[in-house]
Formats: sequence, structure tokens, C-alpha cells
Amino acid sequence: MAQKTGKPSADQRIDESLKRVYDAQLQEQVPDKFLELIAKLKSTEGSQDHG
Amino acid sequence: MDDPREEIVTHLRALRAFALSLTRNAASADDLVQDTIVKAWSNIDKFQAGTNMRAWLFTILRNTYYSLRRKRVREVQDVDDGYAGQLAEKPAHDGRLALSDFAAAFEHLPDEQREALILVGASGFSYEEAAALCGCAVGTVKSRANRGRRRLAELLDLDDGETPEMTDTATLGVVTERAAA
Repeated sequence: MAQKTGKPSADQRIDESLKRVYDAQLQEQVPDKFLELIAKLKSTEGSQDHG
Repeated sequence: MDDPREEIVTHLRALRAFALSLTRNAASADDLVQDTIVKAWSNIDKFQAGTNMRAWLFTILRNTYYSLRRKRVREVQDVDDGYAGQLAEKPAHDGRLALSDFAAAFEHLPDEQREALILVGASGFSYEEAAALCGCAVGTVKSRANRGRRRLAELLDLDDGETPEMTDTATLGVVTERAAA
């Protein structure tokens, strides 16, 4: 008794919206503090090798 | 020889998007990403070269999130406007859902369901990859994603197969009448 329709299902619309929300997030610039943190980690690594 | 850590920077946007979907709060999401960066950096020896670094980073991020969630007894679950607010968008007339409505409904889902939906519905991981990432069975991820979709359909008042614009002509007639009234 499965009913199939050719119309976009709720699931398809939900997934499409999910992608749009997620893609919108992906367009955002990352905060500078992330890059600063990586730079800091790099410089710490340079000065003291972990073992 | 390339240091795999150089690759981390290319995943920051994805990490932040995933963190936002989990925390629903921009400040917490940023903290979570920073914790993830530090952990990934210091545990890079555990990363297997040639495997999917994004999946590895997502795993660290989600594990960090859930261990914090276990530790912290949150008094209130603050939902700031950093998520839905930024995404405010005109309601679409092409059958698409208004993103702001969608984002608001999405925030109501339990963590595990949001996570499953973001992983398989938005970020393109397979169910198998998502299951590995979450440390659970494939069936569990599928069931979380399905429950999440059902709940969203309820919250957004979406009956399966029914779209505002292209249902049958009778419905269309009602819609047209209402619009004209």
C-alpha cells in the first residue's frame, strides 16, 4: 500500500532545506580567532617539539 | 613530506557549520571548533593518512560536544539568534521552505537527530560514514535521520507529497480563491 507520488516529498523538501541552511553556513567567513589559534599552535610546535 | 595538519584549515567552515548545528549557539560553536582544532593538532598522529580528514575532525568535534554535554548540567538551553537570525530569508514562493522557519524547526530536534540529518542530509556523508563517525550502527543513524525528518515535517506542517503550490487542481482552486478574497 505504498503510495508513490512524483511530487517532491516532505523528505526531499527537508533535505533540500537542510542543504541550503548548511550551505549558507559554509559561505560564512570563519572567525579570525580560528586562524590565530592555528598560527599559535604552529609557533608553539616550532619552539618545542613534542615527543 | 606534507604535514596533514596543514589540511585542517580547509575544513574550518564545515566544522563551524557542524558545530552550529549541534550547539545552536554561535559562541558555543566557536568554542567547540577551537577545542576541536587543538585536539586535532595534538592528536594528528592518530589521523590515518589517506582517510577522510573531515570525517576525523567531525568525530573529534562531536565527541567533544557530547562529553561537554555530559559534564555540564545546563540550566537553560540558550538558543541565541546566531543561527536562525542570520538566515532570515524571504518566504519562497516556489514550494521551497522559508529557511528561517526551517532553521527554527530544526533547532527543536534532539541533538542526535540534528546531527544525523546534517551528516547525511546536508554534508554529504553516507549513512555508513555517518555511523562510523558517530560510533553507532548504520540503522541507528537511519532511524535518527528518519525520526528527525518526521518531526520536521510535523513542525513545518508538511504532509508527505503535499506541496503548497502543486497539489491537485481542487486545492489550487481553494488557494486561488483565498488569495483573491
